[in-house]
Amino acid sequence: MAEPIRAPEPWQDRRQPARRLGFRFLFSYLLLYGFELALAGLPGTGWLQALWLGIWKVAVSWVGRHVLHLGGGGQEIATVATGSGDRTFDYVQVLSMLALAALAALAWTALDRRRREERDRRLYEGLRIFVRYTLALTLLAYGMSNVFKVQFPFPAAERLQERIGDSSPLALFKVFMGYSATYTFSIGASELLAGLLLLFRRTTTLGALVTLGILVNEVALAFCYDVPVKLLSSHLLLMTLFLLAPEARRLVDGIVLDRPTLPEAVAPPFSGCYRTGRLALKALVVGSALLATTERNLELAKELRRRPPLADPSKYLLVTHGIHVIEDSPINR
Amino acid sequence: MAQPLALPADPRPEEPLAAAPAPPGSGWSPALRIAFRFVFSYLVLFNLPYALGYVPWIGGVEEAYSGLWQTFALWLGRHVFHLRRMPVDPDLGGDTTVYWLRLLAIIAVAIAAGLAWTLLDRRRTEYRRLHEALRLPARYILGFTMFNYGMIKVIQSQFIVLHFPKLQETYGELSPMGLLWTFMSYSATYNVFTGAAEAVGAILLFFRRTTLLGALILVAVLTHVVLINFSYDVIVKIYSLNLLLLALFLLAPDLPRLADLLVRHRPTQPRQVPPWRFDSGWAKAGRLTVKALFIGYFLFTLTRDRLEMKRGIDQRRAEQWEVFALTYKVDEFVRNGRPVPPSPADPSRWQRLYFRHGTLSVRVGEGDLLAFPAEYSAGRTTVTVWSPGRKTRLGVLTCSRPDASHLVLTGKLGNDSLAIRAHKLDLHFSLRDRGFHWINEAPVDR
Repeated sequence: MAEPIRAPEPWQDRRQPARRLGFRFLFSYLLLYGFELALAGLPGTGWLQALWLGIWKVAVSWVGRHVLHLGGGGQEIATVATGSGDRTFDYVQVLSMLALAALAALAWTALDRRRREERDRRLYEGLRIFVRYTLALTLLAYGMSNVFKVQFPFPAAERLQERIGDSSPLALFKVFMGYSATYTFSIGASELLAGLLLLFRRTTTLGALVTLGILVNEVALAFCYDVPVKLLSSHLLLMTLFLLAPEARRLVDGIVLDRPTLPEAVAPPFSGCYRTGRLALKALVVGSALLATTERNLELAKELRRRPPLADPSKYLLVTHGIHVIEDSPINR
Repeated sequence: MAQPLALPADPRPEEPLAAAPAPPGSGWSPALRIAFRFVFSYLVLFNLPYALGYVPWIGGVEEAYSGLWQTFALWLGRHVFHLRRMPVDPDLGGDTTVYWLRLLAIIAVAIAAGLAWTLLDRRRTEYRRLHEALRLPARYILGFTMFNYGMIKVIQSQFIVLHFPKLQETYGELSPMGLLWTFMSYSATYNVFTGAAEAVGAILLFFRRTTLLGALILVAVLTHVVLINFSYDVIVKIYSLNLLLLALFLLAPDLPRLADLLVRHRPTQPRQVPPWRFDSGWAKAGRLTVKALFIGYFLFTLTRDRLEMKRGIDQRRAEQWEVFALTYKVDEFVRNGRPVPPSPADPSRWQRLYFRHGTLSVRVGEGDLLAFPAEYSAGRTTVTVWSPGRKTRLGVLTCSRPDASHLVLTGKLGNDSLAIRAHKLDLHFSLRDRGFHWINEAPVDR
C-alpha cells in the first residue's frame, strides 16, 4: 500500500483480444458519433456536414425500412430537422452507428492480427485528442449561447399569460431557465470554463471533472423535463467518462483511499513532430470556432432584442417582483 | 457500516516520494494563524445556534443566544445605519434586513475576537489540534443539515406546489421563488436526483476518510444552490452561503493536495490524519458504538420526521383532488326564481365553480375569478360561504348530487336565493398528462 501504484498505460492494457476489440469498437463508435459534432463548431465545413447528413438520411431510411420494418404502410422515418435531438431518426442513426462500429471492430481485428504497440498508442492518443476537442467545442458553443442569453431568452408575453397546467414540461423548463439572466449566465460561464480547460493537456482532468458536474445535472434535466437532448447529453457524458477513465485510479487513490499518487503523464504524445505547426493548427481551429459561435450568438441576441417589449409588464408579478438580496417581504406563490 | 467506521490501522507510509510536505509540528505562517483565528471565531459564532438545535432540552440556551444577536443587530440598524423599518417576524425568511445586520455583527465580532486573540496569544505557532477539533462539529452540523435537505427532496416534501390551484394559474402570476417551487415540484425524479446528491455528500462527511469526497460533492451542490437562491429570490441566501462556507472550510486543508493531483501534476502524499485519543481495544469499540448510535439516531429521526410530513402532505393532497379539484360548469343559474342565461356582460352570473380547500372560486362574466372563503360540512352536504376577506357570512348552500357528474346547489347568499345546476368537467392538464417520452419527433414546448 505504501508504494504508489502506477496505472498501466491504456494502450498497453490491450493485450487481451477482448480489450483490443473493445477499444476498436469504442474508437469507431466515438469517431462516427463525434464527427458531426466536431464539424458543427467549425466554420467552412458546411458542405461536409451536408454531405454527411445526406449519407445518413439515405442510410437511416434504408435501415428503417429493411432492417427495423418501421412505419408500415409506406411511411418513412421523418428526416426533417425539427430542433429535437431525440427523433426516431436519431435513435435509428445511433443504432446504425453502433452496428457499424461493431462491424468495423470485427473486420479490423480479423484483418490486422499483428501487435504494434506504438501504433496502438498513437491511435489511443489520437482518439483522446478528437474526443477532447469535440467535447470542448460543444461546451464552448453551449456556453456562448447561455452567456449571450440566446438559448433561453426571457419568456414572451403569450407564455406569461398561459396557464401553467396547459404548458408542457419542456415549456416549464424554458420559462424557468429564461427567467433568470444571472442563472443562465453562470451556467454558460461554467460551460465555457470547462470547455477551455479541456483544450489543454495539463488541465484536461480538471476540465473533465468540471464537465462531469455540469453534464450529470444536464442529463438529469433532459430526462426529467422532456428536453429533447437525451441522446446528445448522454453521449457528451460518455465522452467525459472516456477522458476520465485513465485517471480514475489516481483520483480514487488520492481523494478517497488516501494513498500516495504519481503525477499523470501530460507530455504531448506526439513529441517533436511539427510543434509549431500543431500549435498553429490548434489556434486556428479553436480561434475560428470561438469566433464563429460568438458571431452567431451576437446575431441571435440582436434578433431577440428586436422582439417587442412586454406590453404591460406591471401585469406580471414574475416581472415586477424582481430579485431582492435584502428581502423584508418575501413572496412565494 | 463497520468497514468505513474503522480508522486506518496501518501506520502512515514514511514519505516514499520526493515531495516533502511540511513535517508535523512545524509552525504555520503568521497570515495563516491570523486567518485561522478569524475563521474559527466566525464559524463558532455563526453556527452555534444550529449546533445547539441538535442538542435536546436546551432550547432556552439557543433562544437566548439568538436573542442576543438580534438585539445587537437591531441596535446596529438603528444607531449605525439609521434604519427605521426592520421587521423581525420569523415568517419573513432568512434574508431580512435584521438577518443581514446580524451577519454583519457576527463578522465584526469575529474580527474583534481574531484581533484580540492575536494580541494575547503570541507563543503558539500552529493550531493543528484546535483545527481538528473544529472540523468535528463542522462535519456533523453540515452533514445533518444536508442529509435533512436531501431527504426532504428524496421523500418529496419540500417542493409540492404543483397541484390543483397552481395548475390553474398563469406563469405571469408567479413570483420568482414561486417559479422555482413550481419547476422543482414538477419532477419527482429530479427531486430524488438532487436530494440523493445532497444526502450522499452528507453521509460521506461522517467519516474522516471520506470527508474530502463528501466536501467536494457538497461544494458542487451548494454552489449550485447558492446560485439558484440568488437568481430566483429564494430567502435562504445567507444560510446557504454559510453552508457553502462550511463545505469550503472542510475542503481547504486538502486544496494543495488537490492542486498537485489535478493541476500541478506532482506526486501526492496521503493526508496526515492524527489518531484519535480512544484508538485501541475497548476504548475504540466504545467510541465506535457511541458514534454509530449518535449518527444512527439522527439519521433515523430525520428520516422518520420527513416520512411523517410526507404522509400528511399526501393525505391533504388526496383530499384536495378528491373534493376540491373539482371544476363544474354551470348549466342553469336561477336567481330569485328567475333563470339567468350565461352572458359575458353579466358579472353576477356564475359560469364555473372551483371547489378548493377553504375556498369556493367562481368564474363570472368575461372570465374574472371571484374567490369566496368557504367551509365544507362533513360529507360535503353544505357549503358555508363568506364574503371575500371573511368579513360577513353570506349564507349556506345545500349540495345534492343527482348523479356522479351533476351537482345541485340551493340556498340563500346575501339577499339572493340561488338554485344552481352544474356538471363536472374532466380536468386535463397537459403538464400533468404529458409523461415521459424517449422519442420526441419535435420539441414539445407549447
